[in-house]
Amino acid sequence: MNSNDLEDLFNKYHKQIYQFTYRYTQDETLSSDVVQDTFIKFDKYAENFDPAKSHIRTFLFRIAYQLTMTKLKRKNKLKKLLPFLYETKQSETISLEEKLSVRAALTELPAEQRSVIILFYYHDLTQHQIAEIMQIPVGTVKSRLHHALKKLKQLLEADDNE
Amino acid sequence: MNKQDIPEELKKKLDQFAVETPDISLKKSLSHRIGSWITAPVKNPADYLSIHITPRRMALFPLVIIVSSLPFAFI
Repeated sequence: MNSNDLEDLFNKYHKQIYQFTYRYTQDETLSSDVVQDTFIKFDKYAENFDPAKSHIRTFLFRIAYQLTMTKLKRKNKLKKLLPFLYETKQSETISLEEKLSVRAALTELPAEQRSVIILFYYHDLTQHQIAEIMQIPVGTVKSRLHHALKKLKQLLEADDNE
Repeated sequence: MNKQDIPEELKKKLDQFAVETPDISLKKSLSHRIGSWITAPVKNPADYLSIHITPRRMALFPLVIIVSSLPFAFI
């Protein structure tokens, strides 16, 4: 793939990938790193991409999802080893206003449910595409989506009542 | 399930989470990453000390040093 093609691809999809990673991690630096690494990795493994089997967008999201998981695992390990390098957990410093927001409700969801709801709602991906990105069966996507929506509804309704 | 199946109330809440994308370049700059890592907010070290070093632990500290240095007295 030549550099112009890669740049076109970057211009077309980098915002979507940043938005997905940011909504998932709520970490600006990590999200920007994931965006850059996604395209570097895509450039490196472009020959593995088969347009007949998958859409380029799904393929990029899959790379971004895997990179996000790896970076989060690495970050958590470092956090355990050097806890003084990291800020106190966000939920401890969230203001009352912030507690009422969907942003806070999303962090309350289990990680696997959070990614499904973000991909489904904010990126209009089908359940089959989400299954492909997360490498899980479609049935699992359906059940995670159902539980995520139920929990989000409960969390946001509870906040409204407070 | 379709997006239409999501209740309107919940959709409104979800739409509130808008994300502004910063300027990101395609090329990875190591110096920029190191800069971001260094300037990232960290936990106050004083908070860390106040959580982990209680007055009781501080009082026990000299005792721990004495006990741990005892074996050297027999060398």
